Amino acid sequence: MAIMTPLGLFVVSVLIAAFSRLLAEEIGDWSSWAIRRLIRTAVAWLPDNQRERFSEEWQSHVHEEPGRIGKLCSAVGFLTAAYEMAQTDEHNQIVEGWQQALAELVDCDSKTLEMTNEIEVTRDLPSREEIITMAVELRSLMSQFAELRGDLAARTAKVSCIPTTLTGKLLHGVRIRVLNEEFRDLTQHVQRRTARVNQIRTELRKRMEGRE
Amino acid sequence: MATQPRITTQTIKVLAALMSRTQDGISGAEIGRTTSLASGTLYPILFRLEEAGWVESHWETEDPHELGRPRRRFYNITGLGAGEARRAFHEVVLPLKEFAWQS
Repeated sequence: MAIMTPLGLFVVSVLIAAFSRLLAEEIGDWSSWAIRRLIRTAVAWLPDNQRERFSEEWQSHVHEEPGRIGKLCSAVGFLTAAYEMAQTDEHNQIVEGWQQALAELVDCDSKTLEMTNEIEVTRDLPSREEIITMAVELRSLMSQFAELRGDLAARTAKVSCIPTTLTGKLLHGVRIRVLNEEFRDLTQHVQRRTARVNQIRTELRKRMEGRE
Repeated sequence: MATQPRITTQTIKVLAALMSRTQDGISGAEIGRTTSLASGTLYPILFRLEEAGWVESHWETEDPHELGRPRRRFYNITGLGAGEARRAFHEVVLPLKEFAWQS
């Protein structure tokens, strides 16, 4: 019995050592698979044009990390990074679209103003009454544009920065999507109005050329 | 046109790491080690800085097969980024240091 206890302890310790080694190898293989899988998932969340680059870059990043736990932690971090990068990309695209629409509005506004000023100073227009009616319609459209511009500018300013906190980021994502839906309706409205303004301007231009 | 990156303490750390290696560039993993920022925080900052034109990046020129590892991507601060980094340092970091010194 006295011999059996040390022998038993020896056998148990050999078994534990063998099992630990097996477990370490298992965890090693499993972590490599998990890292590959995490990078692949994170990369799939990125915008199309960034996927190839970050797939390679993040593999290289993981390669530079010492230790399996460090590698695994970095790979988990890529998921949050990819989510945030995709959100930034979406934000930039949406805001860029809004800024472009605003610029188009400003351009249309200034051209129309030029045109109405020209009508005002030209006294000998043929069918002057009709032209003045058109000019009044133009002015009314432009005043509506001014309201739209103010609305668009306020919306763009509201989402100009992505918040730093996680809750803020999540809320920002929801808010920018809702605003973009509303903005799509507004854009269609603006496009219809712009088309009408352009039509009136072309007509006015023709008449004024006919006068010359 | 991308929106201007928000200047946070993490962004300043990243900019400082980039400013310390302006010649040959610095990889994302190295910036992470220098700044102690996790990958989940670091890459969105680098992404925003690159979108805003404050930072540019390039692949290392060596063949990955010869190196026996994936290629590294090196980040460099641009002239615009360096100017903005200096401005952020003067506007954010220095006043905070003065405040800490006075209190």
